[in-house]
Amino acid sequence: VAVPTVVGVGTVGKIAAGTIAPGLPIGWAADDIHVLPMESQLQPVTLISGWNLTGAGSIPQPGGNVTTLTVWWHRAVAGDAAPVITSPGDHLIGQILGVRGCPATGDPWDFTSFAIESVADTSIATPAGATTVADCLAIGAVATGADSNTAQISGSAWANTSLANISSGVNQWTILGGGGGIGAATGEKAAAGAVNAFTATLVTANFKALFTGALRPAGGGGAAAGRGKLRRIPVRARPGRSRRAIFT
Amino acid sequence: LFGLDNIIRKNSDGVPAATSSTPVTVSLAGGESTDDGSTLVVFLGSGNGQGFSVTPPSGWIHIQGIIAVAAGLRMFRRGPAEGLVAGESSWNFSPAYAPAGPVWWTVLEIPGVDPVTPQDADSGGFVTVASSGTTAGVQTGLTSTYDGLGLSVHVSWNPGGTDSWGSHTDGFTEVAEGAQSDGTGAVDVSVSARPVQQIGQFGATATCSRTLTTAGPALTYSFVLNAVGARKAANVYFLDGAEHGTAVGNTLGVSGRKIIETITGNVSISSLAACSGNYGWLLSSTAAACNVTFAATSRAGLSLAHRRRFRFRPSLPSVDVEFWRHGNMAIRFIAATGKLGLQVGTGTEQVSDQVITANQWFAPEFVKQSSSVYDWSVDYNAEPTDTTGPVAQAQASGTGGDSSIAHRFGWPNAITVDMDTDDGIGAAERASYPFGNIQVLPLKVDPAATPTVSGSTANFGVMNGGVVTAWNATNARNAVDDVPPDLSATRDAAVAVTAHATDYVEFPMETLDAAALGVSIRGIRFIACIWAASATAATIRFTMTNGVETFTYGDSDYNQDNTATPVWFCDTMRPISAGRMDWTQAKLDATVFRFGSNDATPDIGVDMVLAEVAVRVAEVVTLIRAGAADEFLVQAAQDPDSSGYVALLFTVPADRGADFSWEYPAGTPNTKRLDAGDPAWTEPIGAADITAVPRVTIAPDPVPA
Repeated sequence: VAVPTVVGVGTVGKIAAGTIAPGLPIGWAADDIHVLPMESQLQPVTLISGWNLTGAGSIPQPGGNVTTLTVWWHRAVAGDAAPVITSPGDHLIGQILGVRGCPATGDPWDFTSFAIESVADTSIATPAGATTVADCLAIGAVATGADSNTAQISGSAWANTSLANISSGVNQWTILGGGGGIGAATGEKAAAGAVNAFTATLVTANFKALFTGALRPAGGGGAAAGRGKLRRIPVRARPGRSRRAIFT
Repeated sequence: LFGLDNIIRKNSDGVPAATSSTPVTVSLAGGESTDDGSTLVVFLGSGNGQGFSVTPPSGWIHIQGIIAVAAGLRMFRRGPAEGLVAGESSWNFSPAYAPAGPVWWTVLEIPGVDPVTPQDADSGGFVTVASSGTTAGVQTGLTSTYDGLGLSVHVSWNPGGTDSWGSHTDGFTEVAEGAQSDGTGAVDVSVSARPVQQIGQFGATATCSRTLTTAGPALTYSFVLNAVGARKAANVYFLDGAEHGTAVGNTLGVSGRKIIETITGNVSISSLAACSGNYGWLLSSTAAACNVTFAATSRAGLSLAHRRRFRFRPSLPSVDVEFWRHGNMAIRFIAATGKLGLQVGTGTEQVSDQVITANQWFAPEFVKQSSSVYDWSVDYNAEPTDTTGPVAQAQASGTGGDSSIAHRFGWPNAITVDMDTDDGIGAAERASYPFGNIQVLPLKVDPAATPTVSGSTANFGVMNGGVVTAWNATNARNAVDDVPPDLSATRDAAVAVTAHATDYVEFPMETLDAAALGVSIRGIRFIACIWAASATAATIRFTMTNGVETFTYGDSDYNQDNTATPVWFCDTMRPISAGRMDWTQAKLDATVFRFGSNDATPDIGVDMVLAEVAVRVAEVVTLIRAGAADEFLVQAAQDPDSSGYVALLFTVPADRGADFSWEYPAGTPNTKRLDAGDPAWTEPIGAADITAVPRVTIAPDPVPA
């Protein structure tokens, strides 16, 4: 079992009214997981043909810098083309992050968590979570309503004290419509357990919609249904493998 | 939202010896010019007796200022409404006096300021002068905007050197400071700013580098600019839920404190006419006029914006009905089309875009923009459970017409109509429009609390059936809790029996849990039914307090008597003169009613005390949706004005649970776990504004692998 790897990011799609077709990452292959964070005004993107919704968070402030972060995912199949997505209203911006090494079937997310933050400051802290299997790739994302063409993740610098090999993947903002944008980063979580907040600094203080999720590795098992019924079973480490926990 | 980055340009400079013969030129920094839609604010500080006149140059609006003995401060603004256009770069301001004095100025360019109402609260009609200590500062009055930019200015004249200002408080950040010397002393101007996103009083106190003196004073002023489109809290001036339960004697009392001014025709207060609360006004006529009027000096008459629910039942009228009038503006039902029409004077009637429905509450609301211009909207389905909002209608204008009626609901002509009306609200500020979904609910005296006497209990008693006995707190409470009041032979009242100057009986009032009800508190009015042993002149005084603000109505003769036609006292709980109130759950919980009498001959008291509470119904918005089919939801019942979360609503599907967390108050984490299939959970919050709940999070259980 190995931690899923980032294949790359596609070209950004952004528009006020109409459709976008954010590009697929160069070098993508079948069974890659394509994660698509998108920012819009106050209307989440509700349908992308062939894609799966992870969730959305909105800052519903009448007036001001409202924003919505919507996260979709898709397991690539041969012949895929860039998804065509209709702007839900004021504007839409999105960029695909390609990940390889996730399960070839089923829901690849080990955990997901959304947060909204109604504090207009520059500090980003995505929600914390916890992986249930080893060797996950965690993804943190933020959306703000900053009306700016300037990439808002200062220095594209993300941090996460619980992860290794932090990589900034997405940093795209626009002045189309009311303006807004997205930032995202990834990090490797070797042992199952707590995933701390992804942290970064915004160029412009703002309210935020935030996401953290972790993609499972291929062959890495996964969570069982019914959280209250889970039973943690320590497994003796085999030679050459790290000690980990599984759920049955 | 307004922030410091909304100050897109600023510049400062000085003139060492400004005189009235040579204007001071205020300009943007080299080569820069204004953007379209911006507003400029100019701060002119002056020293050594120099200053600027209150009369602004053409195209500018005077904000405030003073020419003190040694220092002067004058502030002006100019926006699109004053003719500011793109490309302007400099402006002249002439000092008032011939003798030379130093001037230092700062100009700020701020886009996005509301061109119609650019300024919210300020720190009053005078600049504050500080002539001792090292600090100076003044706060604004209570603001109304949920999106504003607070500005504070500190000007000082140092007769023997140069000052500097620092340590600005209240969240203000200094955005410009500079000083100009005239060779002997120097004038210093410090301008600071902060975002204003909640109701409150704002103003920086700053620290000067020296001790201020009479000869070397400081001047300070604070005000808040409104963002265009900013939501504002309604400043409720009038409300009417008819929750006192009877129309008998409603026209009696003293001017300005009556419930209504006149009743014509078959008007009653009935539970059949209630939309919210227990009662509403019922107007029913057969070939007759039928209406209620309010005096020009009443709170209804003085309000510039109104909303009220109406319902025609059982069917729509077969004739046109002018059912609501405010001065020379009238709203009528048009029988031929089923629509509403609003006409100002003899101007063109604006007809609503939709029809109204029989047996269904609808709610028009209007704002008097000027004596000849009204904006209005109609909530066509204003049933308590309906969530559709109002629809804005075409602005109406006109002059002339009948303005003899200050405010009236009901019709003046002989027609056959049945109509209910409830949940009236009004405000003396145009910014309170639109009010939105307002309900007026009753609060009686708290049945679980015991009235108290401040002073001597011997000064008070309890009347029952006309017989007054010694003070008994429980009996007194039970004597004033009948709604409507019992006016029969078993009538009872709490009374004053011996004159006293300051003693009083205090009745704690019932309260309501606004967050649990999904509402925000907008305003309160008290209604008291007054009894006296005889018609002999006697006085009684009332006080209402919410623990923070206290409103006293001194000893007055309300012409009360011991008859079945009672006399009433009624008023909205709010500042007597200018200003506004914000209502909180804590204030509502602390609200009490008091009475006393410095006369008490004959015995005089109250036989019913009631508070009417106007609440704004929250609207449900989705904050977070998660899962492949949005099966996890975090929703908020949100105050549409403040954006504060009244309550949070958590939902999980049948097959997965989730952990929810939120921070409220700021810095206090809270959590809730819902297992798979748990019913949706409502968490009352009652936040004053959106920033009061800094963070909300959901972590759904993973999908099984």
